[in-house]
Amino acid sequence: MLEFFNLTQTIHIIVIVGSMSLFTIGLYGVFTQKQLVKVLVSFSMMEMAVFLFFIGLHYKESFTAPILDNNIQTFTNMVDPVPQAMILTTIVIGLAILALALSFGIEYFKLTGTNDISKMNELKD
Amino acid sequence: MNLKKDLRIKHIFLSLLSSILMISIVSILFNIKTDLHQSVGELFLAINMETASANAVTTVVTFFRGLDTLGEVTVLFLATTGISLMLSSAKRVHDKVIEQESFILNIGSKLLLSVIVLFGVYIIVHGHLSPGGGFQGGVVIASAFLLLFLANPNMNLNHSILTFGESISGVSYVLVGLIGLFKLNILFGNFLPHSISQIGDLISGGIIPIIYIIVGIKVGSEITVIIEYFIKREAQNA
Amino acid sequence: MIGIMILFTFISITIVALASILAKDVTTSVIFFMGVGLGSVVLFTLFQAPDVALTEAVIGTGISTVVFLLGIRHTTKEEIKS
Repeated sequence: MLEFFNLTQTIHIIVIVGSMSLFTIGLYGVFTQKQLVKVLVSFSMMEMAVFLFFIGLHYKESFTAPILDNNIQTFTNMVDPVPQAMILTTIVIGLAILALALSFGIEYFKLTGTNDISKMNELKD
Repeated sequence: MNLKKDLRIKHIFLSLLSSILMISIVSILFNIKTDLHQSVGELFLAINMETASANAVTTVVTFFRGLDTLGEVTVLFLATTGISLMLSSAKRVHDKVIEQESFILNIGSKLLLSVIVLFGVYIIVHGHLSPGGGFQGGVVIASAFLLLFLANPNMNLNHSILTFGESISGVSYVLVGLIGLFKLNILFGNFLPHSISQIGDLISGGIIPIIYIIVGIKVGSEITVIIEYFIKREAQNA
Repeated sequence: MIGIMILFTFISITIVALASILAKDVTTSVIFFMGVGLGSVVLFTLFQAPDVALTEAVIGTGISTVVFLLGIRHTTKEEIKS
């Protein structure tokens, strides 16, 4: 039973179901929440689900991290380094974009005094 | 009561819609073959030994995909410019006593500042030998300044040093790429080659630690500026 | 062994995320989101990606939560304390 859980195919199935359920919870939050900051929390949750999905699907059984140390002297049997490099920079940029979105919300609150997204309809006819 | 019943039906309908969406996405994803036979990453691992850097992810970020990192640094710069334009009416927080300034937090943050900055510099410089690098170390340095702001929100940072550091690092990133172009006819070429036997030393890996130090300075100063704008904003009372 | 740890962490992340979305107060929501970040750091380490885990540990549980809390402070009406 323990060997069944360590297979690559089983771990891929667990990753798909888990990260897509996190994505769906965030999507439900975007649909139904009324306060601005909670909508941004839901967006960040959807982002995190995509990162987990991306790195989880590149995992293979008994492959190690792509770094040399005292025990590992050659670059064989290692996990792919390219998706890790891409996700690394994306996490930092996600933080900067979150700060930008919050600064828009802060300025809007200073102008009109509401942080309820159903009342932000100045562009409607 | 009618409004509450409408909201309840809407929530149930939306949760049903989300679960149907999730089941369809998962059933599509189950049929995808997830084992790739030959990908770019395996080729990168095979020639990683020649660059004399022990961390393959660092080599991919700075050397094999150096142009992509230049784009990410540009996006960071644009986001910081947008934030400073939006919150440009930041005034000093008024000197009214909101709460008692904590003595322990004041003294403790000044003691811990040097240790945290040293730790951040260690993470940046050893990026090619162990997990770490410019992005991680830059954010650690910014968190040291966040600790100082928590103790005393009226603290003034020297904006000229921050601006100088940010612009110098941005210019030198492009300069490093152009020097590689002129010397070796490759953009971001390795113009300081080290031999393979030096793998594992501190001074090895060619231009890889140089690029990561530049990225670390830029990320650290930008996130410090972002946090300072958020804290110094005058709080709006009702 | 690793498979069971991954399964357990995924289940706990889902429960904490559900608690974060269904919370009434917005500060509670942000604190539970920090818990999701912590769980994802554990997951990134189990997937043999230490660089990504380090980045998420510093950003997700430090700077991101502080930026959210500062945004909450500037977008809610403060009550006048007597």
